[in-house]
Amino acid sequence: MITSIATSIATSKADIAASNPALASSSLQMAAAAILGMVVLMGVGFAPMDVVHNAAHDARHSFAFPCH
Amino acid sequence: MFRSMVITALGVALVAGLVLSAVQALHVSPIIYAAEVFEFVGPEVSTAPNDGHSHSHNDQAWSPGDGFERVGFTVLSNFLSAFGFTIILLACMFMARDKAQLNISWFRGVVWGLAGYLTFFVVPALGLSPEIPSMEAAPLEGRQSWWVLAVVTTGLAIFSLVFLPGIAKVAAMVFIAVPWIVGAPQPELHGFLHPDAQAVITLEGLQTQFVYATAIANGLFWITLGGLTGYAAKRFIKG
Repeated sequence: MITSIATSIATSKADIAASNPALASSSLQMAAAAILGMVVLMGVGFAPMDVVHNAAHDARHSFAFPCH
Repeated sequence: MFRSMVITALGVALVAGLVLSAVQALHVSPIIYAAEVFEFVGPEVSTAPNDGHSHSHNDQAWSPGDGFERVGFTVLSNFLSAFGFTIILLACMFMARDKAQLNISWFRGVVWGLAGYLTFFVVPALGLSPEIPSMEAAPLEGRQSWWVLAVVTTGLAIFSLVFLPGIAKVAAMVFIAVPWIVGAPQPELHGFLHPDAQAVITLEGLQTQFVYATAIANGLFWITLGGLTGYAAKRFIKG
């Protein structure tokens, strides 16, 4: 009895892991990647600190990010 | 998969960033340098209205020295921006593959790159023209907000056109219209406040050149970035 319950739990866990969680985890990674990209872009293009502005000045103008 | 996306994006960004840096060094940066000559000419200009512009000539904050240092930081900024764009593009490509069975290839990558060019450069630049130093502009915060709005709505418009079924594609029209209904912030005084009329004529010429130079540089950058991202995504990322 216990063995069969354990087996069924293990099977259902395996089923879940084999179906949607794989895709869900993939979507999560896509979202994380996109957020990382946005954070980097905001830092280079929009960060208000003078030092960052001065370092990235010519790149900001070239990408037509609002500058000054 | 996340790790291989980051590594792939770093590789693509290195190449696309160098391509941009080369075009920029030849055709874009010289215009910026030429315009800067007119930036700090005397008390007339320094007392003119501005919005706290703190350029490399500002003594209060560190800035890279002219020459190698300045170019180095520009190349680094290009590379970091290219990394940001690439990893966003990768996320979109894989999402489209998983949800809409859109295959990944170098050619599809070029098409993605053109979509990126439209989203991140063309549409924002239609409202807020690429600017050279010393040009009058509306307060920075308003322009940054409008830029973000234009990018997000253009991205949503392209998404609606490509991925929504049938009549729902009409949503794209709404997204295209939104930034223009809101309106890009414009300065009270357009153009240049330089006291010398001849300098203003020169600056206006530089401004026109700058619009073309950035449009071409960014176009080449996005085509390179898109094509390479498509190729590398297919070749190096499993999952």
